[in-house]
Amino acid sequence: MTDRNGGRDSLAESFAIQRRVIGALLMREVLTRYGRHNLGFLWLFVEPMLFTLGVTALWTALKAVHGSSIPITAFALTGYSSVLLWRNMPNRCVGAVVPNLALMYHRNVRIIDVFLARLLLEAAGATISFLILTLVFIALGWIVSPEDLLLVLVGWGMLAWFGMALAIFLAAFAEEYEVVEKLWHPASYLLFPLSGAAFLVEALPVQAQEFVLYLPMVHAVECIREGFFGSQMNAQFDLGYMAMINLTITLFGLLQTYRISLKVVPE
Amino acid sequence: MIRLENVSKSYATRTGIKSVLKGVNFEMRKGERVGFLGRNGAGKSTLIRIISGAELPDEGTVQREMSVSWPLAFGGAFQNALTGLDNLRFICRIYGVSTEGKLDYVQEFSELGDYIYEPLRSYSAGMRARLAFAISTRLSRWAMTAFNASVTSNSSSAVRIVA
Repeated sequence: MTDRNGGRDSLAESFAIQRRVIGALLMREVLTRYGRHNLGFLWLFVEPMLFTLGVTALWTALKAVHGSSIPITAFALTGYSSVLLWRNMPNRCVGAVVPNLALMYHRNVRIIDVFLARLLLEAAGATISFLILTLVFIALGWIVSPEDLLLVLVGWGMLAWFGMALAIFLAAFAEEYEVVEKLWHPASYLLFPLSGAAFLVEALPVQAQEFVLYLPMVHAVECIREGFFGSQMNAQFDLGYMAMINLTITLFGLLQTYRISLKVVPE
Repeated sequence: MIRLENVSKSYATRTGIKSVLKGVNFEMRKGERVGFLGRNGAGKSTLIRIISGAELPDEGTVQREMSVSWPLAFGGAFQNALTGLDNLRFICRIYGVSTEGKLDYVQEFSELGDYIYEPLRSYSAGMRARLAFAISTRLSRWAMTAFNASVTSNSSSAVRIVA
């Protein structure tokens, strides 16, 4: 048996412990969230799939794309899947500490482990949902295969990083300042229409383009769409800019997580 | 051996910062039994949480040169929504110990019987305590068990060091 022993463990040992703890927390999270009834853990991706299916059906029926030749189904699929990825991670992570306080009696269980377990689960759910829907839609002939798979993967990866960084940042600050949680709810709601899910940057007036391109998730959504149907649009994204924002949020998030983990009192 | 050096701990409360432990130094060896006596709020539980590593001291260091269990009978350390069996598996996973052969022992020692398949929230306080004790003694090389007991008007915390 090995412990986190006041920083005396080697890096490799710490890594092995962390992997074990996150694995245990993942299993527990699946059990407490989905139980062993009916679909069980399949809900992990069935739920986001239902969301995406519904929105895709609505947008397709309403022809939400402004009279252009953009493939509406692919537009809706990429847009709404992206929202689920970056928005659900903070939603699951904020307030994750309190229900897990009892587990902090085990010295190997740290706040960051609780965050990471929830984030991995959430990211997996959104990713599996996106993957299955893409494959099914291709098989049904509703969309054509992505033109550039690498761009899709890079964009999705960047968005997942952004979602995780934002989640850790918000959750860690919400532990100390309750107002963060209160503000996040309206903010996430207001950010949805601005996040690039429901528009292409090129379709906006120039001033609006400049404004929305400050938002990091817009860059990833444009990148994913460039990968899907880039020949039919004029994508605008700067992954370097997005990486800088992601890195900054990650650093501040981890610092604050470290600060609160010094002060945590098990229940 | 467990060694505490210059351990201090304080908490922020509504009426200002309360210092609970100030410059605590002591050493415990395998086989020793130590009891902490003190009034409610004196810092017994805080000390036990710090010894076990569940909480970190503001200042000072804690050295653990043997395996140390989590603080038992605080009521914590378990998931109420999960069954006794799931909790056993969870704890084994966290500490990197195989669950093999543990179930029979825990079931017998804790006298839980089929209740091991029920969620913890249906357990009585006594059932929880027995489960915690059964699991912790069954994990390999456990050396310290720390438990809290409420004795009429005074409470005490005890640390027992098992060889």
